[in-house]
Amino acid sequence: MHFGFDDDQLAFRDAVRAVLDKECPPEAVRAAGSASPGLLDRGVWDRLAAMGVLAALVPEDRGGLGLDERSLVLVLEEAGRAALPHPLVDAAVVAAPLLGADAGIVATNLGGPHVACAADADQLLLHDPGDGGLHLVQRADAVLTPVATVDHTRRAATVTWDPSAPAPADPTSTWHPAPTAVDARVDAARDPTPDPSLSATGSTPAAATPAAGDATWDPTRPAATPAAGDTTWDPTRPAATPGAGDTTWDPTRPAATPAAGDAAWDPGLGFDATAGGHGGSAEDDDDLAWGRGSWDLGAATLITDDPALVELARDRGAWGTAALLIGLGRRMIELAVAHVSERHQFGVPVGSFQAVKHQLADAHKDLAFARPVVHRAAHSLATGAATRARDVSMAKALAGDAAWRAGRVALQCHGAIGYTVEHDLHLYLKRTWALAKAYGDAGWHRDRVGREIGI
Amino acid sequence: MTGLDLSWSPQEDAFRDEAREWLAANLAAWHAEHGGEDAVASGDTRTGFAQHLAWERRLHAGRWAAVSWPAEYGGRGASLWEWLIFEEEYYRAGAPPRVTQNGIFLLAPTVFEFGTRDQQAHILPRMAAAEDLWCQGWSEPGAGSDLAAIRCRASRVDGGWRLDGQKTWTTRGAFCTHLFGLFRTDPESERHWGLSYLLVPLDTPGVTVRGFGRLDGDEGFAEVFFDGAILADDALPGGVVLGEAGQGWSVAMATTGSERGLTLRSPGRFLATADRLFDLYRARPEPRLRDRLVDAYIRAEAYHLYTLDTVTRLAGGASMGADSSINKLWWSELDVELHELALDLLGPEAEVEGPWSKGWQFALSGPIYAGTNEIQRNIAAERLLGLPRK
Repeated sequence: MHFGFDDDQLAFRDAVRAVLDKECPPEAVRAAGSASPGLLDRGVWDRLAAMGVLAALVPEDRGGLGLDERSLVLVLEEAGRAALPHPLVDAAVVAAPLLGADAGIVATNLGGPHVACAADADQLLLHDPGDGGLHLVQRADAVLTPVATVDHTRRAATVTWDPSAPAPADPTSTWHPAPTAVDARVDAARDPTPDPSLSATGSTPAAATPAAGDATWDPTRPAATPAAGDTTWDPTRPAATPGAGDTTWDPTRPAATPAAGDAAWDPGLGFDATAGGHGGSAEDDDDLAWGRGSWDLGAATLITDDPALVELARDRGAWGTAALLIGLGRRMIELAVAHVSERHQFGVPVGSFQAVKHQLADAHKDLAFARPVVHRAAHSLATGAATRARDVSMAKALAGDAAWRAGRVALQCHGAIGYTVEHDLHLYLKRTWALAKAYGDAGWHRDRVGREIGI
Repeated sequence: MTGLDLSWSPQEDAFRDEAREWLAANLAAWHAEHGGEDAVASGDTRTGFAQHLAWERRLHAGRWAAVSWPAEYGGRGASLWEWLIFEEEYYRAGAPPRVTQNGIFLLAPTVFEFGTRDQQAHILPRMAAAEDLWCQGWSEPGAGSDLAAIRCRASRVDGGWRLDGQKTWTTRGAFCTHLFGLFRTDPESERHWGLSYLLVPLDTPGVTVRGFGRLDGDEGFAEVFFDGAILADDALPGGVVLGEAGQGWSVAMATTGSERGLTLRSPGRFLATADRLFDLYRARPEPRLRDRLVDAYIRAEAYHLYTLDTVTRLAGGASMGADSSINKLWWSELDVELHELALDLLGPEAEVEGPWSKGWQFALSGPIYAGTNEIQRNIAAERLLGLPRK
């Protein structure tokens, strides 16, 4: 029994934190909200890619680091703490294990009806309830209709795909195409050379493809060599390079029969299984409002229609989002503590009043107790535990509630200054609001925990 | 050391099996001795206390009374992990609250840290055997949350100390044999200075103990009057002062960490309560309460996992520090919520006296004892978050 992290995992976290402190300060998050679509700054993303963060969960034989969720959970907390505006969980946690190490920026609709960060994605991993499968669509092939969300640093959109369709009526709301920017894929030409300063131990953990025998990163990921009968990972499945039979749309495929795994995993946020995903129209306002726009599967690549793998992808997303929320909650409490220690009223720091202290103590307590639950969920995912669904849902429910409360408390303790866009608090607060509901909200996950434990 | 590893070793599994088997057999025997489980009274009544002493002596005979202590004092030298396992099995088996807990979980850690060899050799084995029964003498009529306002005095006299003043809200004081408490030994001192941690046999002439009823009706509280009683230096082998005279505050703070932190309320207790709550829900499902029920279960699990995290840090040489304050907030609020849910499930039947109504009334004391939750929030805000004291 050891409920902690090893030196490599801590060093990985520290290295990522150093990069995020430098390259993702509040100004960078702010700038993301006003960047032109497709022109999100990729400096920090490329650094994370060079460090192997994006390929951490990809098996070594597919070009990744072959690590597991236990090595990534602290890194995700840091990304949450920085409010990184890139879709790290969608790309590195949900998509990378399915697509491989170099999928670029991937956004997905698994977390909710509108695709967060769609405007800046290279590829879109889209769940179609019609066939229950996950499909990969090139960002340049899709029509994105922006959705104004509260957290405008994640440029969300509904997705349609129809190369011959006219642009939506209001051209100002159309983000496509920005092909030159979109094509700026992370690749070998973009200096993947790791920065040796990022290595806390002096070896080369930053390399996306670690050297053999590298002592810093232990690539002995259990999932890479699964036990027979393991349904959570099939290394023989041609996920990143789908078989020929999967690459074309088969109109004879029976549609709208959701698989069992989907019935268990419909937090009311994904595509409505009864609405179908095919042949929708960009002009259908109702459908777009609810994110039911569609893409033509003829140009999509089926990644998997195995319900178990789809559910695993969603569980990874829910867990990764929970880890982000822990970091976001901590950042908001840090901001509030700093503010109430400085701000004087009645001649004393407002943080000396018990009415303020007690709120912050409670918010800190809730985050402190949610965190080990997120860590246990990492362990359950990494080991393919039978209790994975229960553990992931516990983590998302508790972390979502704790971060939500931390946001309320931080806003209240800031007073009026926190209610401005001049102050940085709102960046973290709005991200928290978005993520607390993404990949299933707390109530949905509690319901799932109840089902898992037979209540 | 590896990263997250949630597996138990074969030795730990064997320890769990041994504890489980012993508990099952001995609980059945103890219940039978007293006319069945339902006939056992609360340990906070005179009748029940005697019944629970029989259980404590059974635990001692099996060397389960204080598993983490060295064998020479009646323990089995168990690791913190094994202690957690034992606690899980203890509450899962439905074993009773420990009437010796104030000695074993509050005084003993201080004796291990500050006691002389003679004090340890005398106090600990008799405590484990439930021969000496210890109560905590801290609160006074004018010193509750503000513990440093203590007015009980111990004046130096030839060969001992003259005690004056009153302690109150002393849990199970009327049934115990000894008291550990804070007394002002420097008459010129104020607040945290000039206090001493004294060990007082309650049969010392001049000491009067008077039990009185708690909210739940049990005689679980006592007030203790000292009235010039003379506490001889040799009333106990090794002496009656624990740690250095005048350093009582810092000696006592070691105990408050135990009380709020890890040892007093192990996760097994709340996981077992959650399990009983599930049974109640299945027997009389109430869908409108299901969300709260699952939430409470998740919080019980979070307490379990937080404790694993804490033990990992303690095993690595860290101390719990002010984290014990948020720990106390968590378990005390969780206990209230679990019992409140049970009463909501019972509806009008909640009024009928039974394990849930009894447990509910006891749970309500959690946010008050061991330092009120308001005090804990102050400590957490100041020491964990660094907020200004004034």
